[in-house]
Amino acid sequence: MSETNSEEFIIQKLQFTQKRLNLIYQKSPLAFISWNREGDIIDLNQAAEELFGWDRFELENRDFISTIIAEEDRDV
Amino acid sequence: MSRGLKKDGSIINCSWNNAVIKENGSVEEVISIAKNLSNDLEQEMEMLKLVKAINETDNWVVITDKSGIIEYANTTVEEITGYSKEEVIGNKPSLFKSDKHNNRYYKKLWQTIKSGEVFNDVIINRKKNGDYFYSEQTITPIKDHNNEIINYISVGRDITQNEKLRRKIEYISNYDILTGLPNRRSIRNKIDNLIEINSDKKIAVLVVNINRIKYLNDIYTDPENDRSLINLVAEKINNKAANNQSCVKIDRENHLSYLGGDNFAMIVDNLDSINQIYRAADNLLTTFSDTIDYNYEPFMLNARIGISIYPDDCIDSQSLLSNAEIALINIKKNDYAFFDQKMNQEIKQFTKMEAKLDQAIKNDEFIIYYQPYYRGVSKELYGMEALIRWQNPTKGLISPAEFIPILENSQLIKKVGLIVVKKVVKSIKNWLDAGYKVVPVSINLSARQLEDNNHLKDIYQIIGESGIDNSLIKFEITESSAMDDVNYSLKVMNKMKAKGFSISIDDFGTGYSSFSYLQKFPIDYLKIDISFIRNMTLSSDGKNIVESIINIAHLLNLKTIAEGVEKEIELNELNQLGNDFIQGYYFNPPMPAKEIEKIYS
Repeated sequence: MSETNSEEFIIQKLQFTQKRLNLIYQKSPLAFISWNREGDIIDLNQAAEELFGWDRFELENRDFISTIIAEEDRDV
Repeated sequence: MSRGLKKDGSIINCSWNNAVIKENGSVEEVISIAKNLSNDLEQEMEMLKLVKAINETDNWVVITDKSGIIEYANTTVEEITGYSKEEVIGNKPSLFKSDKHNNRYYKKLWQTIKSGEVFNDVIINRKKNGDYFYSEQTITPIKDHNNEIINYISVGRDITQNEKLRRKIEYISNYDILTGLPNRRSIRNKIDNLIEINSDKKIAVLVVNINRIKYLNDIYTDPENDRSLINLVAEKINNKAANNQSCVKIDRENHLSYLGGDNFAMIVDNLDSINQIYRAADNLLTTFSDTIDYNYEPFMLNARIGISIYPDDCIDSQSLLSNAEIALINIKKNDYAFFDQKMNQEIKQFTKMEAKLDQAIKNDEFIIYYQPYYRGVSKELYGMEALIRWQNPTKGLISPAEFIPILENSQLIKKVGLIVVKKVVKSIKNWLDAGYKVVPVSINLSARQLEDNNHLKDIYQIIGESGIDNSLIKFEITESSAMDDVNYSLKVMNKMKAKGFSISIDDFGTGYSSFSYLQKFPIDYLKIDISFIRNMTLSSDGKNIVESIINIAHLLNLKTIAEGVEKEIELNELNQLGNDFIQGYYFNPPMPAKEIEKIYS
C-alpha cells in the first residue's frame, strides 16, 4: 500500500517537475533550441520561434547548425 | 557570439549558451540558448548617433547634476567658449557668467529651473578669453520617475553674429549713414522716451538749420579726411551742448541729431523758465559767430533755430519736430524763434529787459535805498533794510517790481546781489567814519542766491574784507525760500549765525512754514508781511492773526518786525499786541543814503 503510494507519489512529483521545467523552457524570453547527437533539432521554445521566424514543426528534425547558424560562423 | 540565421535569411546577432546534457558519458542533447543582441546593438548604435549628433551640433550643450555641477559638455562648448571639456566638466555654469546680467537675473534663472520650468532667454556669456557672446539659451530640468530633478540640460545657440546683425540694423535705422549722427527716428525715440518717463515735464525741441551746410558738405568734404564738414560742425555744437546741463543726450556721444538736408535737432529739458531755452539757443548760435576751418579753408556759416515746446505746442515727437521746423520760417540768420508767437513776444521783451539790466550793471545804475525800522514803544532807531532801486538815465527811478523778477530769473541776480552788498558795506563804513551810531542793515537774499554756496562765500568775503563788524549785517530770507529745502537752509543759516550775522524771515505768513523747522532755524526776527498789517485794523480776525503771529514768534524766542506800518493806530495796536519793531511810512519811506545821514545826525 505504502509502496504503491510512494511510487505514485514519485511519479506525480516527476510529472510536476517535468511540467515545471517544460513551462520554463517554453516561456523563457531566451531562445532555446535543443538538438541531439546527430545535430537534428528536437525541440525549441516560443522565443526561438519568434527570434528565428520558424514554426516549431518546421524546424523539428532539421539540422541545427545549417539551419540556425549563419554560414560564416558554422565551423565554430 | 555566433550570428543566427532567420527563416527569411536575415542574420541576427546572438550570444549563445550551450547546455550539454550527457547520459553515461555521451551527449544526449544540447540545449542552445540564444540571447538576441541585435536590439542592444541597435540601441547602442542609436546612442552613438545621438552622442555624435550632440557633439557635432552648432548648439552648445551642457548637462549638470541637480546641484549645478557640469557632468557633460559637448565639443561645441569647447569651440565657442575656448574652455576644454576638462576645464568645464566638474565646474559650474557660472564659469561662463558675464557681468552683463545682475544677480537678480541669475537668481530668477535658477528659481525658474528649480521649480521644474524651462528657462529660455538670450544670455550674454563670456568666453575664456574674456569676449562676450550672445547665447540663445534653453535650460531644461530633467526629472526622474519620482518627479525629482536629477539633471539640467542647457542648450545654447551662439547668436552673437545675429546679435551683431540686429545691432547693425538698429544702427542703420537710427543713424545717418554718411555722418554717423543720430537721425530723425533716433531723436523722435528720445523725445517719446522723455515724455513717457515724465509727461508733466516741459521739454523744448530745437531744430537748427545751418544755411547750405549740405551743399557745402557735398562739395568740400575731403574723402581723405575721416570726418565731413557736417561732422565738424556737429562736433562743435555737441561740445557747446555738453557744457549745458539742460541739453539732452540722444546717445552716448551726441546731443545733436541730423534730420537731413540742412536741418539738425536737439532737445532741451529742465526748463525752469523759457530763458533757459533762449540761453541754450543763444549759446548754440555762438558756434557760428566765427569762421569754421575745414581742410584749411574757412567757412562762414550761419544758423537759425526753430523751437517748439512740449506740452504747450504739441505733445508728440513728430509734431514737435515739424513745429520747430515751421518756426524756422521767417527767422533772420543767426536768430531763433518759437513756434508759439506769444512766447516769441515774451522772450523778446525779456531779452530786451535782461540786456538793459546787464547794461545797468555795467553803467552802475543800481542804487541802494534804506528803510529804517524802530522800536515800537520807545521809537528808537533799531535797524534798516537795504532796498535796491534802478536809476535809469532816461526813465528815472524804476520800481523793483518791474526788474526784480527778471533778475531772479537770470544769473544777473547774483551780480546785482554782490553790488548791493558792496554798496551797503560802503555806506556803513562811511557812516562809521562820520562817527554815527550805526544800526545794523538787513540785506535781502533771494532763493537763487541762497542755493549757491560760492555766491554766499563771495558775500561773506566782501563783508569780511570791509572790516565792518558782522553784527552790523542782517540777512533777510523769504519764508518760501527758507522752506524750499529745509535741511540745506538750516546749514546755510547755521553758517551765517556762526559768522555773527542775524537772520530775519521775510514775508512771514505768506508761505507755508513748518513750525518744527522755524524752531530749528537759528533765526532772530520774523517780519510780519504788510498784508497782515493792512488787514489788522479792518477786522477783528485780521487783528487776531497778527496777534497769533506775534505770540508764536515770541514763543519761538523771535522778535517781530511789522512791515508797512503807515498809521498811528496801527502802531498803537501793534504795541498793544506786544510787537517789537516797526518799519513803514509812519516813520520813514525808503531813502537814499544821504537822507539816512540826516537821521543819524
